[in-house]
Amino acid sequence: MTTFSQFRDAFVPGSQVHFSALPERARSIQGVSAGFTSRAIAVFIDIGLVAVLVLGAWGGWEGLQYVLNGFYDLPSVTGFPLLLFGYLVMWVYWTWSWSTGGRSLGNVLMGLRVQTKRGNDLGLGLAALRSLLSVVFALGLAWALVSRKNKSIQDILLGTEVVFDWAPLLPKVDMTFAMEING
Amino acid sequence: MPVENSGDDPIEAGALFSVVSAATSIASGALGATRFATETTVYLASESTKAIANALLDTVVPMAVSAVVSRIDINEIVKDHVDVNEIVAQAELAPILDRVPMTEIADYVIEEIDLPSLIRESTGGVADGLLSTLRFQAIHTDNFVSGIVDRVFFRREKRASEREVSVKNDDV
Repeated sequence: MTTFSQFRDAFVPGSQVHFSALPERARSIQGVSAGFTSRAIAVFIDIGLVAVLVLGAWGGWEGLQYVLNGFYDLPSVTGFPLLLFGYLVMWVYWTWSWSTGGRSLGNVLMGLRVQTKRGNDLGLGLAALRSLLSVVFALGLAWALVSRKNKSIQDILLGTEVVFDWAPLLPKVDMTFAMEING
Repeated sequence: MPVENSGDDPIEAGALFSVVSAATSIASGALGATRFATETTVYLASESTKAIANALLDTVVPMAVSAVVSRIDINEIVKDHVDVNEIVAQAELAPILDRVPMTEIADYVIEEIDLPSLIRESTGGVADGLLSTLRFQAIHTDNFVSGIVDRVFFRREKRASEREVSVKNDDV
């Protein structure tokens, strides 16, 4: 236990104490590049979300066809056009979520964030390009298994990275003060 | 010479007066001088006595007091005869509180009782714990998989994510 006197002695004037809401074990990995599994799970979550959206829209469309035309050969849209629509939605969704804070639903749940090498948010153009590459060549993520810096093909081509960022709404964790007390 | 008339001689009477008055002057002068000398002596004597007495007291009193104090337990006396609560009750609190570093104490208490984790546990609940568990499991799987890949490629240095997590696990 730290006594108040020890606490006071360790206090650096002018330094501000940030108390993080993050679990202690998770603090050291914040901002570190995320590995294949975390990112793959995030991608599957996104695919699930888009699948639900697309199937919902499809069901609504077919229902509308039924109401307007009466009996006809259901379903009217199948196969390739539906898949293409799914790819399109995926592309738009990733573009939107990466350009507005770098987090899709899967990223939020897995505590990930897409950013540039310098740690900035992706602009709309870069997000759209990365999203397109990811949709067209999803297997590019597999390179994160081999890459020392956990980079996918898309990351290498566009100079982006995916890092752990569990709590984007909280101030960045300042561990200097806590380290001075504990060590 | 008419000796019997000598008392009526004006010259003789004048001389006698002069002699008497001179004698009186001398006598009073001597008296004054004696008085001055006496007063001065008394004054000096009393002053020096005072100085000596003070010096003596300055030396003796602290020794005596410390001899007395060392033989008695003042704490006991205060405990028995002084109502400490009464004194404290009369003390001005505001100037004392002004000297107390409130924010530092608050920071200390927050750190010591680990308030963030209390808040986390009470508000986050099961869902937050599940999410953390999922994330940690994914991270451990990441490290497991990348460890295998790196071993296949004969890499010695661990990847950044693996390094950070394993260091932290050693601490815990």
